[in-house]
Amino acid sequence: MEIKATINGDEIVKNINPNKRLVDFLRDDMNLKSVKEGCSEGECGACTVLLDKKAVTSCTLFAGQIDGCEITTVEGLEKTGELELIMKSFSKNGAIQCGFCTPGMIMSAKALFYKNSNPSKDEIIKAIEGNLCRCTGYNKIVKSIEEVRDGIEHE
Amino acid sequence: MNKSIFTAPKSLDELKTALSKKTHNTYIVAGGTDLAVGMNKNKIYDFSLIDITKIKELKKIEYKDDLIEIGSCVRMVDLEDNEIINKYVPSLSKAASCIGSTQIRNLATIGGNIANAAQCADTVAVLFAFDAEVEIINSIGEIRKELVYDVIQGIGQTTLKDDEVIIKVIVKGQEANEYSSFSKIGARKTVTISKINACIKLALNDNKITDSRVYIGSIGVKAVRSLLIENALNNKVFNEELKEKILELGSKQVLDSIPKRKSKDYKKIAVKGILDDIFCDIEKRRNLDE
Repeated sequence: MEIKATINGDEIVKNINPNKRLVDFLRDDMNLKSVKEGCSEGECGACTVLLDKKAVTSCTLFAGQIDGCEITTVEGLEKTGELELIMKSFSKNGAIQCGFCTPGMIMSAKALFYKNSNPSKDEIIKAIEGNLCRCTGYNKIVKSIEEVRDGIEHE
Repeated sequence: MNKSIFTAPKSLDELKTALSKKTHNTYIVAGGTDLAVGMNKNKIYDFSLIDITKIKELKKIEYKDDLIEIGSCVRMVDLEDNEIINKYVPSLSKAASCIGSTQIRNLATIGGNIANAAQCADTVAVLFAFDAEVEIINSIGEIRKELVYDVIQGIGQTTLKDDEVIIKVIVKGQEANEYSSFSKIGARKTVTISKINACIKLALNDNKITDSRVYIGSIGVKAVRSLLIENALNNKVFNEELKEKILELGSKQVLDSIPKRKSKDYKKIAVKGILDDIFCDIEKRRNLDE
């Protein structure tokens, strides 16, 4: 099946297997390895990407369904330069240990910022409730997102 | 091996055509949150899909002649935020807001929640309490209506035929003297699958309950109507004393419905918590109205 989609700002026209899950298509066909597969059932949020600027778990939809849509992954934020501030905030605050949940956390935070550029702490907590972290704990992650919100730059 | 075909109709007419070509291994997909996970888990790769999410008509919420028409591809996030739903079916907004995570609510649809027919489906308990109907289309374009309660036959079982798709959910909104609420409890505080859920809808005349509907989910193959609780509510004054009585009857209802299930000991206590939540929420809404 041929699809047209915008992936990380690039318009693509590509023949794909529409029955693949979006996570498999992004990792295997598009080589976007920031998208992590954790639980495979939409519970852990490691595979979170943006579909038309909204956070979705890419293990719970089929690749064919993104025809005509816009997808953003962490690689897309890297291209626009947005990733640097987020990454520095996460690392300075010790919000990354194994790092497996980090791309999903970042994409959930990005989706929140699209909706609300000045979210409260509670809104941040709600936005990442679908992202599990099993090593760092959430306080440091929430603090990092708060600092991104406030535009605090780290060296 | 069968050839996999992926079709994404853009109108009901195109959907009809797609349904007429449907084979035994063609699946209807909307949000995908159950189907994509299930296919991967069961290692099924050889199948065809009809993606109904590109049909604009199925994404609308409209208020028509006293009835609210909700397209089957309306997502949980839409139900949560929509003014019409918040005003006329607030318990549906609440149920939708309790489902999964933000990521899941951005995908999961009301039609999918019905067609998937899980015993813990959160919107379903509400739709039962409101006597909601669905509109179903088939491969020759015929449209039939059926109560959501009748469509769902058991866990994962519905009356939907192979060439049929739910296109709309029709709900009569609550009147000014009616109140409804929903609550659930699961293993985690948020992003949780209901271990038990419930919806109560009440009609009040001053402080007296003139009519009630009570459905409790996850204590049967589909949400169970509790006549025991309804009878205790009807013609009574809505107050703290009545609430205490209802919480006890909630436990009795659980024991009546699942006398042999191990989970009964947990659920007979948990039900009190969710019924208490519902009562408090209705009380809060009444105070806001006054």
